[in-house]
Order: sequence, then C-alpha cells, then structure tokens
Amino acid sequence: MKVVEFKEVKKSYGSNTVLNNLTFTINEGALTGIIGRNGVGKSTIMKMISGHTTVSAGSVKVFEENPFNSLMVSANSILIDDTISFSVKLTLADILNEAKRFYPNWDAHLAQRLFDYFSFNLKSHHHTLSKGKKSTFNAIIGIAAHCPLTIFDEPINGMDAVVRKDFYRALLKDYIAHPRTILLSSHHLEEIEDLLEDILLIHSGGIHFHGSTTDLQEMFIKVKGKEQSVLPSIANRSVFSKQINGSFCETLVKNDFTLDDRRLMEASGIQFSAVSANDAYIALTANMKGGIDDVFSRTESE
Amino acid sequence: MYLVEPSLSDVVKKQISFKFKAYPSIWTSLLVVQLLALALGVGPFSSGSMSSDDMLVISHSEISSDLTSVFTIIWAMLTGFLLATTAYFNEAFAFTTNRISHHLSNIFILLFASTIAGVFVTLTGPLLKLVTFLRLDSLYSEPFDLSVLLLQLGTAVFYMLLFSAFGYLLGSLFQRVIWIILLIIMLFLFFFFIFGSTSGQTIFEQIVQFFFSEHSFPLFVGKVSLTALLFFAISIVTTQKIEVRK
Repeated sequence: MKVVEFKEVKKSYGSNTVLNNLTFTINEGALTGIIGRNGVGKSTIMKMISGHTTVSAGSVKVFEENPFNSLMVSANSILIDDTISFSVKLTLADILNEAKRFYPNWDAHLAQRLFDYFSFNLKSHHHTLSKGKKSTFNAIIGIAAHCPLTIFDEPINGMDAVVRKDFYRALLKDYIAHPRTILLSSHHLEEIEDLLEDILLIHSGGIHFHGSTTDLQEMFIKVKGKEQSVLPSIANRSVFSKQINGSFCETLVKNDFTLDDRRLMEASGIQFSAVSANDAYIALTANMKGGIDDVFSRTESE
Repeated sequence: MYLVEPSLSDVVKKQISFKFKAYPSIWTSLLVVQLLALALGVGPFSSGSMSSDDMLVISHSEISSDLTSVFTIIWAMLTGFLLATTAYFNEAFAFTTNRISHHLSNIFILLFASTIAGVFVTLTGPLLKLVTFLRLDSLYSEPFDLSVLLLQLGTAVFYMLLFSAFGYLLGSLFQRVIWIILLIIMLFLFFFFIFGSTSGQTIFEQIVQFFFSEHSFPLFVGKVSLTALLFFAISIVTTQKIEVRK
C-alpha cells in the first residue's frame, strides 16, 4: 500500500520556492530517512505529510487521502518535531495520559519504562524541560504511540551522545517489534545510516536519490593506491573527492567501473572499498562554489 | 495495516476533555472576576443619596449587580478571544484533530463557560441582597419570583454567549490579519459617534437596542443564537487554511 504519495508538489513561501515538482512514493513498512542539507525542505515535506501545511501546487496523498484537515490521517500519524507545544498547566504525566486517550495503539507500559529510564519526573512541565530533555520526551511519545505512520523531524536535536544512541536503539527495537512506516529526518546520516532501510535525498528543491541505503552506497566507490597508478585510471571519471597522503592517493569516484576494469586496476595494486552512505550523500550534494577555506583566503588577501 | 477511522464527534469529545484538563485558568479567572466585582460592588462604592426637608431625613443606597455583569461580559469576550489564538490552535494539534474539531470543541467550552458565568451573574443579585441585609439590617427589594430569576438566568447566559462568540471571532480574525484589531477599534469608534440615518441614535446605540430592548425572550434567544452562530461560522471559515505548528 502506498502510504505517502507526492505528485508534482510545489511549495513556495511568497516568492521563495522551496520545493519544485516533487514526485515520490513511500510504501508501507519502510524505515525511510529524509536527508538533505539545511533549509532544503525536509521539515516542509513532513509538515505536508502530516497535514499541517498546504501545498502550493500538486497533490499529496497519505493513506490515499488528502492529509490537510483529515481526521483519519491525523489519528493514524504523528509528527514529532520541536514545534510540539502543550499547555503550561499540563504535567508530563498528564500528557502521557492524554496521549493514551487519543492514540488507540498507545503502549503505556513502554512509555512508562522509557520515561523512567530517561529520568523524567512525572510532575514536571513540558515547557520547563531543557532542549535535549524536551526532544527526548517528544521522542518517547513518538515511539510509544505506535502510529501506522510515525514521523520524526530531527528528533535528536539537543540530545547528548548517550541519549542519541539509546534513542536509535529504542526506535530500532520497537520498529522490529511493531513494524510500521517510519520517516526520520536528520543531518547526521553517519549516525543513522545503519538504522535506515531507504533514503530519500532532497537537494535544490528536488529529489536527488530515492532508494535503499545500499543502493546509495553503491553509487560510489573509494579508489586507493599509489598516486601514479590511481590518477591515470580515474582520469575520465567523475571524481568527488581526492586526498593525497605522501605518495598514496585516495579518491571517491562514481561507481561505473566494469568488472574487467576493476580486475585490471586491482592487478596493478589499486584497492577498491565501499563507501559509507554519509560519504555518498556528501558527494552527491557537494557545493561546486569551492570550499570554506576560500572564504578565508579571499578575506586575507584583501 | 489496521487504520482507525475516527468520527468527528469522537475526536471533538476527546478534544473537549483534553482542553478542560489543559486550561483550568478559564474557571479560575472567572472566579477571580466574580470575587473582584463582588468586593467592589458591596463596598463603599455603591451609590447612595440623601434627601431631607425640615422633619425627615431619608438616606438610601442602591446596590446592583451591574458591575458583576460588566466584568463577566468582559471576561467572556477575553476568554473567547484567548481560545481562538494561535498558541491554543497549535496546542490542539499535538494530538488527533483537524480545524473543524478544534473549533467545535472550543465552541462547546464557550457554551459551557457562558452557562456557568450566567449562573454566577444571576446569583450575584441575591448574594448582594443577603450581604447588604446582614450589614445594614434593612433592605427593600422586589419580592422573590422564581420565574423572574430564571428569566434573568437565561438572559445572562445568552449575553455571555454573544460576547464570547464575538471575542472568538476577533481572535480568529486576529490570527489571519493582525491589524484587524486596529480596524475593529476604528469601526467601534465610528459606530459610537456616527448617527444612524432615520432615528437620532448612533449605530452603536442601535445595535445595543437591537438586543437590549427586546421584550420577548424567545425572540431575544433567536437573535443572540443566530448572531453567535454567524460569528462562529465566520471564525471557522476564515481559519480553514491556516498552517499550524510553525
């Protein structure tokens, strides 16, 4: 079943077009990462899926219905981001009780155990929590709600390293125990690439990649070896990064080598190794305007 | 995958009990307003007069529950306005809702609040009489008549409803267009000072007369209900496309 379907979706805020002609489908039961640089439109996509924001053009369908103002979509999905707010009079215990009333699949035992594990106080108020604690509490709600479509928009915002690891592990374990469709957006692809099944990569208002994590990784390959043997063999290929350490050279290139090419190159001492999804993502979204160092070298010379 | 299909009434009920839990300040502020109005109304601020001739001196003071009514009407308007603001809108979207269920649950809360407020205002009269009697040991008042009391109750409730609906409308429009407040103030001043065409009254006085001098209770109920319905309908329609949780 198609859980999310975007058709030629365009979103502009005034004269600023954030998303342009976006078309993709997310199927049931996938743990998909929505990855992209800052300001590329990840939050906007998630808000459109959960029915909080309208589209400027095109159509969005969630569970085969328009999510805006849809009670069905609102009841079967949950969006966890840092815009969640609660009345100042509600304690954390109250919020958990309300969540239990609204979400039919709410797992109260799991919520309580996670609550105690992360050392929350039942009598605290949501608005007095620190940034990291707030993110953790919101994440608990997102996990325990067991909504058929669970959306996390940068859930680890402010969380310390220990809590982050625990969150990923908790999410994975609960996802395995109760399979559902989970969307997760983050900048930290290197932390979550082992967690994600699929990746939807947004860049410059459109989709740069949508497929499994392994497919993304296999788009590129690392070529290592002595400088004089490596450089000629990659002369006519798309090179995304090059590092030279002494006489050794390590490059990241597009993976369009044939089997014969590889055998030939390996025979002359060149090594091939797999690329992490994070490196692949950086390669795909590299800024062609030059590096950050250029900003400083230019100001020095002025 | 099993998907729940919630009905609108189901979600509205859940939102109502959620909001009752989340916004207890509605009731505490009502209580504060009542106590304040009572304290001010019973004290030395009540009007009085003395008249005398050679042999007889008569002094009397009047008490009325007008102050409580005015304070409570302002409270009703403010409560209506508050429920329609962006912060409350966003808080409703923490859980299952859509824009219509948010409005319907707010309207129910305002109906309930108007009823409670109306009861308080109506009971202020007898309470003031009791306090004055205990204080001054003499009291002239109309004889107690239950049907009059009930009529007062009904009128008070509907006035509260009217003003809370008006506050809600202002709050909803304010969400869309912030300078609406300026516009409303200007309109208000305009109505207050400009005279209507035929009668020698300002437009403001004409509007007040429309409700105030209605002698028939069913007609009054009809007028207020339709006006409140209109206010709520405009509120719902103008907020249908609002984006939340920005």
